Amino acid sequence: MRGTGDRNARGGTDMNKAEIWDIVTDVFRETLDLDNLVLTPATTARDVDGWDSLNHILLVVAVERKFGIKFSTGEIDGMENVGQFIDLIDSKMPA
Amino acid sequence: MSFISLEYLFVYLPVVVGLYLVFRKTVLANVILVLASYVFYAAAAAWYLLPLLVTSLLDFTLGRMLSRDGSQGYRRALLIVSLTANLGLLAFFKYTPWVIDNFNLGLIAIGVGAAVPTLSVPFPFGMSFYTFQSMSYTIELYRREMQPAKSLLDYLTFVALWAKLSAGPIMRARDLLGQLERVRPLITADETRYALMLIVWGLFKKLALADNFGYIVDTIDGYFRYDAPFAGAGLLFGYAFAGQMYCDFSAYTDIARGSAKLIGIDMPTNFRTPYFAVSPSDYWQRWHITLTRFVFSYVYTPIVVRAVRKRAARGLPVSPKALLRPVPFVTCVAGPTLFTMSLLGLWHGAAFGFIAFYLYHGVLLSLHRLVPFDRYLMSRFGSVGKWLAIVIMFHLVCVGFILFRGRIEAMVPMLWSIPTLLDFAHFDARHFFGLGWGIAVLGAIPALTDYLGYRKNGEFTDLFKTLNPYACAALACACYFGLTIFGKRDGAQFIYFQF
Repeated sequence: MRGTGDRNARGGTDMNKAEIWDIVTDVFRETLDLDNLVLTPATTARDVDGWDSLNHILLVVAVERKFGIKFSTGEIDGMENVGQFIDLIDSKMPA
Repeated sequence: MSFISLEYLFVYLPVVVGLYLVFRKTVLANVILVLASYVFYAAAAAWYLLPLLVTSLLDFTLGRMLSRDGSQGYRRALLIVSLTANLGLLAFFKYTPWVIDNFNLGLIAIGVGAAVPTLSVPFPFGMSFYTFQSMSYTIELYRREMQPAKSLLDYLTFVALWAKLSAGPIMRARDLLGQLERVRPLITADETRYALMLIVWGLFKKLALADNFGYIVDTIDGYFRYDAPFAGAGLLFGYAFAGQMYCDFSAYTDIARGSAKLIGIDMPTNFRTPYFAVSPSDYWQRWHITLTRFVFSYVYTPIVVRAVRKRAARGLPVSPKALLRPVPFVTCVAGPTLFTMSLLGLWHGAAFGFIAFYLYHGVLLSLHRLVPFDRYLMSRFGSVGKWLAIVIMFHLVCVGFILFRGRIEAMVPMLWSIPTLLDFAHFDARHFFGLGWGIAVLGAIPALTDYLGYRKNGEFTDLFKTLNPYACAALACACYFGLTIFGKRDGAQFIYFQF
């Protein structure tokens, strides 16, 4: 099953937002090759070097694999900033 | 009716805004807006309303059916009906004359002679824009990503709203319908000033800058048409058309946004200092943003998401570096990019230049993955490298504009005239600097104002929101005098009205 291994490795499914932040930050740093990238809820694609349409999809697919979730095309397209991205991940995590 | 006509500025707009304000809180508000939009459109030709109504009524009906429960196959069939009807109607008006002309040319070439009567139906301007916007409604209902329109009146207003009818900005159903369905608050004094400043600034850019740039573009084109072109003429043509295109299209957008703001509608921006882009992908996040975003959302994203997920499911790496290997580069990078960009070219019409322009940018976008020159320059030279990347990207854009605007037989001579600049023995300083001076003077204004917007990570017009009233008044006066002194009065239409 996609991504379950990663999720279980981090201690089950009851992940809090702080943990989601850490994982998402790692994904961004790794995908965009920006070791010192700092994300805030208000960070948008305009603020991050290299966060273009292709890399946005690569980020989303990497996150899908990490968390074992899936986004719809509309959700992928509608993410305005990192805060929304995190909220969306959080909403898809099992309670 | 053109945004730059006196009847629009001094009769149509004040009357429509006035009536809207009187009936703002009643159901008549949208009745006024939709009727006013139909008057606006019918002023060009009454029959233009026919395809507009067909599109509106069809998609509204299909939307109702899509929002009810039904099997996946049934819903997909409804979507296919919507897409086929909309794109079919658009293709009929856009490509039929071109297909008939070329068919006849083929027949003439083989000695048969023209057999099919030429279709002399003008293209209903704005059709490419409202068709896409109406399609966004059925697509998003199919995906269950929005609620259906509350009434037919709201939907008719959404498709026809005059401020964005002629040339955008392209607003998806979910972005505009919600605004039309509710009673919008009166705009404040600050918002009114902002809206009027958008209109004044748009008028200045169109009449004093874009049309004068256009004069230079036509002059240089004349050298290629009638005289021997001088060295570097193609480069000046690219500069001048870059100036004309940007000032023209962004002026239209400013007036559209200002007009809409007066009736409480917020419209997205279409440009964000595009000539300060450091790379091809950066450029397309700044140029004609609403169209690019529309096509990328509905075409590019689904294709690439599917391709990347497929790779990931097979356990293959999906990092940006991994996608540079030959197979993923074709399936996940270059293929979807070139396909999407060629659709953008086809959307503009059946002309070699449009397709060539978008394919050229598709190649630039793909090659940039292999050669990220901006990243190299910035890491090597810091802020100097960033400005170098901006200069390089601007010149790549100018070369593209030769393809977009140049006549097919002039494209190669224009491109060839650029390297001949290095032939100093034959350099024609009088012509080159004579026209170059004009371009520099005109270009200095948008360069300076865009730089002010760029510094704030936005566009110049964003500054109007926070500018104090005295500064606004001074800028409006400057625009007025600029218009009076430099404005061309031959009423050239906005470039994007042809689409």
